[in-house]
Amino acid sequence: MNQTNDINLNNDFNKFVKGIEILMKSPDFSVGTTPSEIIYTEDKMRLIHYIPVVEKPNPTPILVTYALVNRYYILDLQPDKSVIRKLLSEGFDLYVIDWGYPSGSDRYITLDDYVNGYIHNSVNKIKDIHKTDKITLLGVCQGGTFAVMYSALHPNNVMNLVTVVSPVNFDTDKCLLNIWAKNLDIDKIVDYYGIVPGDLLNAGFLLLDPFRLLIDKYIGLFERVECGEDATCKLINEENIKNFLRMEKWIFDSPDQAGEAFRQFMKDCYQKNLLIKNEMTLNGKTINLKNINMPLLNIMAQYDHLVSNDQSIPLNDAVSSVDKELLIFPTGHIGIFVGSKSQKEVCPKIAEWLKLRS
Amino acid sequence: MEEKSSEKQNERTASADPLKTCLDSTREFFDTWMSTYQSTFGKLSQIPAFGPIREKQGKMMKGFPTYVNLYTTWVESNINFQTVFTDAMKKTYEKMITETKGELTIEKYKDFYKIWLETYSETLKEFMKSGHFANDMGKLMTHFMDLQEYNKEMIEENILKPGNLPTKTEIDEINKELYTLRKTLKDLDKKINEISKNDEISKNDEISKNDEISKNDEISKNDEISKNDEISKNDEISKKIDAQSENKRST
Repeated sequence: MNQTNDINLNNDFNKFVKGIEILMKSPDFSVGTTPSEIIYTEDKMRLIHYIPVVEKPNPTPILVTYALVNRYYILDLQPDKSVIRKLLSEGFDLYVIDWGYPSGSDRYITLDDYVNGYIHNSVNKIKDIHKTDKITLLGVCQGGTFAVMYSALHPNNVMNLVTVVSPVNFDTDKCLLNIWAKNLDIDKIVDYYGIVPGDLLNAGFLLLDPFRLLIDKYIGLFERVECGEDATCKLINEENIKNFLRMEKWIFDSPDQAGEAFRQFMKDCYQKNLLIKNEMTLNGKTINLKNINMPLLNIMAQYDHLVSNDQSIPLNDAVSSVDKELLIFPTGHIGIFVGSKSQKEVCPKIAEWLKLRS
Repeated sequence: MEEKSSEKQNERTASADPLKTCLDSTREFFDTWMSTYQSTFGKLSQIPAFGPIREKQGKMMKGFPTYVNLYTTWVESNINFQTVFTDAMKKTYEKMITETKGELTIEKYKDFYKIWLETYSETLKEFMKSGHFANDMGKLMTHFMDLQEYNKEMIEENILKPGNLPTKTEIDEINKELYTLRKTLKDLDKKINEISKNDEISKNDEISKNDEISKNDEISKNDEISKNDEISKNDEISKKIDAQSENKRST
């Protein structure tokens, strides 16, 4: 018994030393490597077009809107775990909005600027390029909420709406973020910071599960280290470390938030839950979810700790679309993009659904 | 300013539990400090300022209660956190005893780590789900923002302005102006694009109209030509017929 434990202790120690050795060589890793081009810019926003990989792509282009928190490249984190690559290989023509990193001069950018400005202008640009009247909108997380707002305000521009882990009903006690947000004095935060620091939001995300996110995750990394000196072990280690660092980079790559947009999103959505009640307004125009009449695919993650399913499910009842589908995959908020189910189940399902409607 | 009630103090009676004794002493000390503050400096800071630097002094005095508010909330939430950690520590200890059947040896470090991680995570999660934590965090953030805002004002008032240096407030004014200008520019761009698009459409319409007119002109010209051609052909034929009939007559 004691001998076995000694061996375990030794193994763990060796793994730790080996892990440090690998990290000290600072392995080269990159994210978002799928070939792309910038086709439109406005302020700090960039519209990225991914180069199609099939000769005749699907005629209806897809515009992906990602959240303002964290960066869009989670959808293209590494070549074998890339939602972007998978959708391209399925024959789609893909565009993604990169919101950039807001700075002091962007503190007055409103939610209306995001939805009726940046998204609307991107949609028009894509429509011009493809000489088409409608495009498919694929919204992810908060970007999905924006896509819902846009589709309600400009239904004639949207052929299909796909939302992935996107909240529309914020009145829930299943997620810590929703509980906490209700007690925050958003005005004081925005008035003081102007541009709300990404690090402040990140601290909130880390608080959701501090022991696992600040300690266990790193212990897990060292536990996966292979101590052998052969080529296979080296390859496994290299891949493990690279994948870990890619995710680590994404987690802590948190852009600051444009104050006015943050103020309205937090107050109208998280605190007053106006969107699902059809009471939210953007620049005086009421967002009526009943205006959404295009086909809708609403995707959720069963173990989502940031956007619980009861925040997304009500969307299907709120819209007037006849063709609507709701799917829940047994994975988490991030796993839905980078987990094993993403490539095998989630992306193929989105592709299959869209092909029938584009 | 947060008021400390004596009820709270009474609720916090010392327990026989050794783990709790330290925490209760902290609470007792803090409550005593708070009530002393309220009856002494707290009251002093409420006195209105006067004299030549009345305004400045008035502003500066505001800082003290702002700081005390933050400190009070911080201590309160710290005590709440400590209670949770104490609870988690107790639970971990109890679990270790049960699950390792009393054999607490260094070799079982992995079991210990697993139990520690799960127990602490779950206990903390339960606390964080409670309205108690959300309330604490909300208050802490509010008072922190108040203090930060106060510090900013003081730095601007007492350091930046006398040093003739730009303040954040002034930069924000420029930012607002910049945002408005950018927005106006975008609106104008949009309008110009619309107008030029409409111009192009009307130009195209005109061109196509002209095209049609010139086409029609050409057609009518062609018609005339063909008519003339026909007439001249007919003339020629009738001339030929005349010539033939003259020939016949002469023969």
